[in-house]
Amino acid sequence: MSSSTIQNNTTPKEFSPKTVIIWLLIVASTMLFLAFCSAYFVHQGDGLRNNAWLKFDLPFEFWLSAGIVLISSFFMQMAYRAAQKDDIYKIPSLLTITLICGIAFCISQFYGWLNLMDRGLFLSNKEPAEISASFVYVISAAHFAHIIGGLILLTVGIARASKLQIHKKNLVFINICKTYWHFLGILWILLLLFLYFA
Amino acid sequence: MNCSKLQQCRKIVIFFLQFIKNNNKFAHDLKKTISSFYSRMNTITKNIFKLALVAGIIFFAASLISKSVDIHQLKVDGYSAETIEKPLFGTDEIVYEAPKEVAANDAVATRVKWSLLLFVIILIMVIANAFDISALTAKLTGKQAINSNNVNKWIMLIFLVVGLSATAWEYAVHGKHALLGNASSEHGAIYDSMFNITLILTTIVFVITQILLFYFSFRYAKKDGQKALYYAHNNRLEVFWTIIPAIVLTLLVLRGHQTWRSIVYADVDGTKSTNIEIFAFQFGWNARYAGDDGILGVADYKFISGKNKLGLAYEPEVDSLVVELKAAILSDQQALDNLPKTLESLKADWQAAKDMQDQEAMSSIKKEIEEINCGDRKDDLNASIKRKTKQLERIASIKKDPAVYATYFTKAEEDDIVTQELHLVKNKLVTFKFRSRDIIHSAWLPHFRAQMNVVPGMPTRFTFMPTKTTKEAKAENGPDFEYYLYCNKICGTSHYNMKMKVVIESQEEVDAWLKTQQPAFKPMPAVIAVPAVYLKDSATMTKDSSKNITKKKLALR
Amino acid sequence: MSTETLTATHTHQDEHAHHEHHEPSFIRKYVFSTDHKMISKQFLITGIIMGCLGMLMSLLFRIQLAWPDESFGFLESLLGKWAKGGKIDPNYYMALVTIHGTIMVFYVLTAGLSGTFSNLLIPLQVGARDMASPFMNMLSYWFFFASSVVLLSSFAVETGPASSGWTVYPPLSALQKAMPGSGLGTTLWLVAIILFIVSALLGGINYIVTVLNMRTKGMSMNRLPLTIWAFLLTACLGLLSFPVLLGAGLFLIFDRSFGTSFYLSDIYLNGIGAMTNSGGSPIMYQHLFWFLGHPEVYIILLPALGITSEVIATNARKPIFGYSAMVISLLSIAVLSFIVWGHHMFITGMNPFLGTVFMYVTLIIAVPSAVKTFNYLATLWKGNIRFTPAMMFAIGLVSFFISGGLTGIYLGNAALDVQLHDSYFVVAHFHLVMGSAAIFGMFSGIYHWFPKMFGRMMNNTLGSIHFWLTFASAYMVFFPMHFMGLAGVPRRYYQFSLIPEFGIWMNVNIFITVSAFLGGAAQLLFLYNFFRSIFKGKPATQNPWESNTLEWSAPIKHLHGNWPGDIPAVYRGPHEYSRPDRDLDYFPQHEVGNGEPVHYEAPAETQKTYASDNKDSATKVFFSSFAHLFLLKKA
Repeated sequence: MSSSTIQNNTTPKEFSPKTVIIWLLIVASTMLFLAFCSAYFVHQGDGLRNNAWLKFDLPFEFWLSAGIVLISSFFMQMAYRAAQKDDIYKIPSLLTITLICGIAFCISQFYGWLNLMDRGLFLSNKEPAEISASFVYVISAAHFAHIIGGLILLTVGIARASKLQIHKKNLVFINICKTYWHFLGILWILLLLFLYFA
Repeated sequence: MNCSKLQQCRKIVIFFLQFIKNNNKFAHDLKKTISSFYSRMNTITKNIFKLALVAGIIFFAASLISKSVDIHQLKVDGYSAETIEKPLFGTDEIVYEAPKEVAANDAVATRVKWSLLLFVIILIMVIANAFDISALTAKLTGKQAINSNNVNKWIMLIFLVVGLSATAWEYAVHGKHALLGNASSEHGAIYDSMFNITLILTTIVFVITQILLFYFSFRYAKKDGQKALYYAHNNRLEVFWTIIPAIVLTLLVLRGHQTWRSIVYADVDGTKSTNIEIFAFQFGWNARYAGDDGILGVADYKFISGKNKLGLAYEPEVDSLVVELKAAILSDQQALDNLPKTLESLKADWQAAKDMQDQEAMSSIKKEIEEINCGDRKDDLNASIKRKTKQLERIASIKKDPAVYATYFTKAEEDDIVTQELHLVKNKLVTFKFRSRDIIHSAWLPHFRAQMNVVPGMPTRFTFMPTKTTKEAKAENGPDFEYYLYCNKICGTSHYNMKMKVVIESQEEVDAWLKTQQPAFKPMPAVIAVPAVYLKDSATMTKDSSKNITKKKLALR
Repeated sequence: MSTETLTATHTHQDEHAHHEHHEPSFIRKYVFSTDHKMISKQFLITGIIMGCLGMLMSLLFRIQLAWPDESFGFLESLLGKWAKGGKIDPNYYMALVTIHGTIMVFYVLTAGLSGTFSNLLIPLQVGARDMASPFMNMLSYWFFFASSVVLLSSFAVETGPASSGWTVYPPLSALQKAMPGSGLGTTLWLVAIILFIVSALLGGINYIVTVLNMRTKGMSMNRLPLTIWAFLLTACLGLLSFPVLLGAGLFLIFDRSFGTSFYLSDIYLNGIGAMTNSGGSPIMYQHLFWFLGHPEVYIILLPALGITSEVIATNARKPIFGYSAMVISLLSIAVLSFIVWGHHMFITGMNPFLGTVFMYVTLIIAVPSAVKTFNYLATLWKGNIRFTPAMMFAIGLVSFFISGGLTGIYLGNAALDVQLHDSYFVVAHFHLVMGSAAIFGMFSGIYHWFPKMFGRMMNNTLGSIHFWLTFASAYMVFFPMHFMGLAGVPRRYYQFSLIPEFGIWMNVNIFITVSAFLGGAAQLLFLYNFFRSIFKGKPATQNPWESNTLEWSAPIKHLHGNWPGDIPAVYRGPHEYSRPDRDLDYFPQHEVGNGEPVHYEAPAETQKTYASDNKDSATKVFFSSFAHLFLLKKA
């Protein structure tokens, strides 16, 4: 940024420090999942070479969660639009629907793990090949932990929206919620595709 | 230094003159003089008190240390078998021999220790003194007694000279011990030349840059009225010193690449060299020679037992291991069932021990009771049962499938020779196949410039050619010289105590030595024919053999 | 900057004016403070305490290395059962080595160095009232504090602290029964490191945002002091690499406690039997660990280099030579540091081709490093050097950076690493280039910014003595180690007297230990000087080093919000020393010069909140919002 722009006071609100913070957090957790995925890749390479890599169908519930997360993202976007249009009385309810979708996602994930266990695939692998299941558990659990964080963020968002603190001129918080929530959705879909195709 | 001292003396003299002069000037005001004298007295007494305190502390510390250092009971050869934790097997051979100059070393150590103490004391006193004097004079004259900038400037120069001469001394004296130019392996010579090139280059850069750094510090130290040159950048200069290092480093990389290739691609397809397995465990090494058939038998961690320490796929041993494991599971099960009873009897024992006032027994029994009460014992037993059941399952699954069975039990292991020493043939390419029982170890043969990690569950290998027999090396380095293989990756309590003697001999000597060694298992009289397909690969583990093949393929590509 | 920032700062300032008479409570001011200057002091003092502990540990194991056959009564009284008969237990030796490494790398040189100076300098040098999120900043410190407590508490564990080296390679660290320290000690180590990662991420995110978003008027990126560039890149490195360590640590925790086999395969443990774990790869951990581990080296070194650049320019009274070259080399070091981790693993049996690649990129790092060195030398050339302790420590850093950096050329070479890997040569290398150099950067920073932190000066004479003793002793300790490594002495060996062929090094070991004690004694001088000067030092003047950067325009007495009035605007770069067109040999960034454009402040915008107009309760709004949504009720 050169000195000529210093008097520019029309910088979009998206670049407020708090939004940048959330973007950096997203970068950090992306690195975490990249680490997991590259570990998965390396193990898979080793495993395939030794004929010790179990390829199994991902539980149906995981795909269901992907659908849920897409729906929740839609509502999140609606809430953000409402805030942009200053339709402030709609925001709390839309955020609440998003939150409920989030909780449904958690429940669906939980049933996904139960599904895996029913098939005899546990976190601790019994055979060398079953290490692929361990990875699925760890990756989905790490994402689950992120979702919990998102739910907390949404709860705060609902409280703020109910106090009418989220409106056209104060979009920072809902922008954070939106960014993080969309990130979680995209992340889950990418992880699912990764686990499906890899 | 002298300069500054003189200056300091001069300053002190001036100060005294001023002191007297000032006192004469204000002689008529007696009260004022007395009060100022008292205030000065105060500072001086304070400092004396401080010095006394420091001296007292030092004296106390000295007496403490002198008491604690047990000079009369120096034990050098005090390492009986009890002090070193004895592993299950392996390191019994390592007997510590006390170095010959023990007495001299002790004397040196004691002397150094005391001189160290003295040195620290003197140092602290000097520093305290210097600090107090300079603070005092600064306070009284209102001026810093020493121009610290000048002093530091000169120390910079002195440090440069002393430092460079110390470096030269290090190169000459300690550099003599460096393993350079005396490599005992074929690639070692290439390695050494690579090292020497890097050494010469870096030494030149080191000397030039350090000289510049300290000389500039000395030369351009602050002077009154001097102003620094305003010189913010020079693109040509910067490009110059970006490109020169880049070129030099590229050359080094190319040369390094060649050297690296000559080390790692010594025997790509594994046909030119003899295979010897190096087996690492906490804490020791074993070498396994292929024996008469020239094939290393299959081994697996699942087959490791008391008699079969390397886990060779020798069927009778494996069968007896299965029996052992089944018995162990039963006894674990019984122990698990008997836990309540054991607890009761322990409590009774504890009561008995309490009556006997046997504190030691009481505490040990109490510990056991706690272990049972908090469920640790139960967990341990359960885990042990689970582990052994799993091991049995895995062994059974190997034996069940005829194809798998045939890859494991090849009979090639019967004449394998497991040794505690490593004897290699001069001028013959050898490939070490590393296998670890438990932890990552690293096999380092410094004299051969050879090192490779030994990773559990992942076979690694290293190929090289020894070029100097032990005898030749002894002729060069003295009669006490031996080649060793050290462990060079932290692997637990006795990591430091994990080495294997390496002997380089002629083919005949090695053959003769191998004859004196017992084969791992005596070959059975009637040898059952084994399909030739399974004998082709000499890898240690079947599942690893596929890995090796892929690796070779990769390497060939 | 943006409206948001401006308004935020203004409201802040109004608030400040409002509450000026309210002194915050003791706890808010000194303990749970959100003020970046207080947090930086907290980081510094915790770092110094951890540093002392780390140094004491090193002295303890140096005693063992120098006099392996003697018994020292005081060791038994100090360590109890871990030094029965006055001789350190081998397990405890390993624990000391491990915790010394962990403390020095993470707690002193990452948190103590970057945490202290990023916190202190980023808002002050870019011209911000505080960090972007002061609360996160406070959390960052307290996570760090909790992490330190957890790590140190592992000394109270019956089986001792983690003892598998600071890299805690599995399987040694993953198998609870592999050695005593791998039990509860390693669990605590992992918990401590995870807390530390959280702290580092919270801090790092804050630093980046503050630098990117909250610079004062006129503080363009090419006018940032090099310290800020270094802190910014350090924070970026941490942000990208610490999550990977978190991943590695999580896998390790799963392997240790939940029976997974990410790092474990084919293991038979003495006294336990064949383990059930199968299918994992111990090398996987090394990849993940060193993906953090190598950037971590630069996380340690870059702030030190940044501090050095600033201190050298100020005290040589010269602009730093080649500002943009310095920034570019910092950038390229930061980028390259992510693709060189494999040079720690040349001899793990990795694909030889990969070894070649890692060798290439590793040696390329030497180019920007060389540029930095030459630029430092060029800055000193024809300067007017004042030997303040800070300046001498900066010169010392350059010297260590040269000595240690050059040995990096050996170790980055895959072929040479075959022999040198894990030998004393490596110990010498990283202690010089990473340990001593970064510690010297830290000392340099402490001496230089002490007046800013505490409003008092440290004693220069004691500082000089401290420098010379530390400098000499560091070389005396680490230089001979190169030759030990070349002679084939492996690292982390407990007792050299058991290995007769290393007998020639006994006297050298004694020399090293004596030097280490000398260095330790010198640190006592520092501690005395530091703590005495906090309370009794000479009061500092506004700009004691006649420096250009913005922090010296802030009042000596700390204010919440840093500047009493408006934040000064910035008109030029940070290194305008000895300009020929000026009588003074410095030209502060915020000083208005002749013919330079005058900036005016954008009018403050007051933000109207709907909340103030709202009469309804939050619950009512919440429930009625559903009606709005479904019944399309108009507001």
